[in-house]
Amino acid sequence: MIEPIRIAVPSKGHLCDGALELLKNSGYRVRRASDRQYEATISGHPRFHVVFMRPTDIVDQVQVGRCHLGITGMDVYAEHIDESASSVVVDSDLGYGGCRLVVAVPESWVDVDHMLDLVELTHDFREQGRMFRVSTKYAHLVRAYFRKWGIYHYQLIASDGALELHPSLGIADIIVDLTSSGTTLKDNRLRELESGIVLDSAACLIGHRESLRSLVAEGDQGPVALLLDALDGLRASEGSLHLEVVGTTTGAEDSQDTASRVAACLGDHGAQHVFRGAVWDSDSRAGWRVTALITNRQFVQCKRRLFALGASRAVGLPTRFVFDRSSVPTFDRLAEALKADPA
Amino acid sequence: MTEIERARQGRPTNQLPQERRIPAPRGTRDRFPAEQKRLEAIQQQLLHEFANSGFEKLSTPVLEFTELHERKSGAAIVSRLVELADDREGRLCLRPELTAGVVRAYAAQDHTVEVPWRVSVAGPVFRSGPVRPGVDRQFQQVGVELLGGPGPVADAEIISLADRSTRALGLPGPTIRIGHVGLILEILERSGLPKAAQSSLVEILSEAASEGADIRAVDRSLNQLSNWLGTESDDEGQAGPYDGHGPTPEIARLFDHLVPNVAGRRTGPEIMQRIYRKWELRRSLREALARIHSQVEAIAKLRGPAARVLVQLESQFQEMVPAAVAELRLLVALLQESGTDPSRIELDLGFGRGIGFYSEMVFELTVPTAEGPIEIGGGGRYDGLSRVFGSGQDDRGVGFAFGVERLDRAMGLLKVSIPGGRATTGGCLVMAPGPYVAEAARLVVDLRLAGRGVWEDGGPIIGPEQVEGECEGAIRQAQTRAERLGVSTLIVVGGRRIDTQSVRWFQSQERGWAELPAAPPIFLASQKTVAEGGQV
Repeated sequence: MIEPIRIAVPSKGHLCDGALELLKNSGYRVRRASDRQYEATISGHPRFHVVFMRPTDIVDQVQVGRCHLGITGMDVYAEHIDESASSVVVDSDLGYGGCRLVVAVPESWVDVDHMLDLVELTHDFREQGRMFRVSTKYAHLVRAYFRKWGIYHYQLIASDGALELHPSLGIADIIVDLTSSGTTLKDNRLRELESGIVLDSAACLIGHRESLRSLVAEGDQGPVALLLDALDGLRASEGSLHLEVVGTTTGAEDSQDTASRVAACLGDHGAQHVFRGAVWDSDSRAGWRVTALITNRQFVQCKRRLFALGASRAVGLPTRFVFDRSSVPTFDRLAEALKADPA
Repeated sequence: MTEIERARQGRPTNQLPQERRIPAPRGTRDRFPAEQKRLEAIQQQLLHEFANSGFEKLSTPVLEFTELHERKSGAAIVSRLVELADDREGRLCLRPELTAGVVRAYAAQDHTVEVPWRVSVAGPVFRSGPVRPGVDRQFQQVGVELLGGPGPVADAEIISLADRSTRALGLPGPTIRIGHVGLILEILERSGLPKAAQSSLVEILSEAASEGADIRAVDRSLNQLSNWLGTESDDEGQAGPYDGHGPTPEIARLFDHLVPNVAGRRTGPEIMQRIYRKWELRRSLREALARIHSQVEAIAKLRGPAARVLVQLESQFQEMVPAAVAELRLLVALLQESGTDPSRIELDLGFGRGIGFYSEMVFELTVPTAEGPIEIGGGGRYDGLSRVFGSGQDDRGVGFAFGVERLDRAMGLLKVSIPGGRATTGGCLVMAPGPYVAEAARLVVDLRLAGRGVWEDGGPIIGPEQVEGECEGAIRQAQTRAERLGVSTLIVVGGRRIDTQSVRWFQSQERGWAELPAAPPIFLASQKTVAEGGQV
């Protein structure tokens, strides 16, 4: 019997929504009867079995190998794992759930704007016989980061609630917490420190090392290879339009000269994979055609210029998957990493 | 077939379902008998050398408080601690090295310890970090610590012992690289930088040194310091409204106006006072950083044969660190007097060796191999460390540790024979076909009783083991097994009675096995003991 591939997905919140959206757009639509159902299947991919759980549980279950793959936050993974982990990060940034774990101090601490200020401040506290207090939900990451700066004399205040109030209530001196836009920190009169980013986090794909070894051994047509290829293609297509610009030649003008100028213009605006060729319209008049990959913004910016150069029509089609020969597939990178990694 | 016969035959293991294998945790590995025997032989040889030099064996816990290392071990060690769940008394970790535990034990003693206190210590140490071939999270160290020993004399004793012990293992004389962290510490001390910035620089140096970088690594943090206070971009004359006399009432009023609500546990005056301190520092920092940079460059160049570097050191740094220069000169002279070949001594003043708790001399030993030089161990002086751990006793200390696996690797590459590390030859193996294993077990007990636990040649008595079948094929199978174990005598029990009729003896010869016509004396002695009613 072929063993199913168990993939763990966050059970609720934006990490869950993002994961389901990502899988759906990659061609792996999760069939879940209700939000309260904690198991699901994937249409057309019977080998995959989806389970829903909390992000921290996902890390634990992938770690022990009960789940072969898992989608969770990089912050959660980094906090709960060390170098001895039997799990690996397959893709560290799935393109959503982005946030930063940052060191934040009260806005009124106008003398403190860099981590080196904290080095000195904790030193001062110690000299005065006071304990410097840091509130966080990420004790391991904070300890490791503070050690890098040689900061040892502080007390960690662990809390599961909102940390932003801690400095003003005198519970802690500073906090280390997640932020994405920085608005919540600002609203609570806190300020990020320069060099104070403990971790840049996003939703990530993790896997159980030994399970992945056998799944990778199924080759580049195996289920994991196809899933990772689909995710690669989807990620590469994000924000990209497949552009087609056509025009016909008038008078003595050489159609390929015009096409060449249009291609150069697109290149100048940041378009990639620019190709050109000859075409004929329904009346058999000679014309030219240029295709490229371009972002929405770049397309809008160069539209007028394209018409000025002689284009008669420019169409931007949304892309679903983009594969580029020059980029190394995630599956190949994973296979290499597992090969180099001692068992 | 009776129940007993079935039990004797045993259940074939290949009929059991195959379970998932449980590997050793990443970064740790099993030491199988051949390797373990070599590692133990190396450790025993070293402990023997240490004992001959007056170092008594001490054992400290593998589990220590994290705080023990955080107080002074430096970023290179502390960032790689393997921490465990918090204990009620504090955070716990597995020891990352042996020195801190020994010094803690020295400081923990209620009575005054007679100094110099010489101890040796051996055991596993643990460091987290990326695992790669040859770099494990658990490895074995063996070393010595000399507490309460005065400067260069104790330093020379320790280095000389490390050198002697290396050669006692059969390795060629190692290259001894000696540095002195006192120089860089003195430069930082005189720099005018605030204490916190100094300790931050020391931490950076410590981490860099653990990655093999020299003290030039400090440049990175000098740039960081420079960016911190903005000395790169601001005009020198406009560093701030500092007049050298602290905040004026006008400035205090302006501060209150701009920062009406001071959140947290710090007060407005505290914050303002510190702003003034930063302004003051900013004025002097650029010059201080430039001075440190040029001095660090000069120090990093002081590397080479001891005689030449000593002359350079004296001409450049005599005035700044006269004590360090004199100590190094005396140390080199003492080492030469104690028989260390001067051509193997190299001075390298840019060498940091994890700086953390080291205060003066640091050293490391390397041996050349076909795969390049291998660092087999090192150490240094850590004056003041026992005071940091709360001791009121003499706080001077010096020590070193060897990496046992590294020594093993170097010895393997250099094809150096390991004293006492060869596979055991001698001893006996007792085997029997299924129906007679109980008798064979009784024979093993009798032999142990007669031989006081060992075979005639002092080797082990192994068994009983079961052999399949009962004819000559079984004997050949038993002989192959005995060869694998390296024993010289094979005993096969072939009957219900233990006597010369049913027991056969085989002796290992140069060309295979020869059956002995008569029973060995130990067997006869065992028969006699049994007859007399002797018991184990």
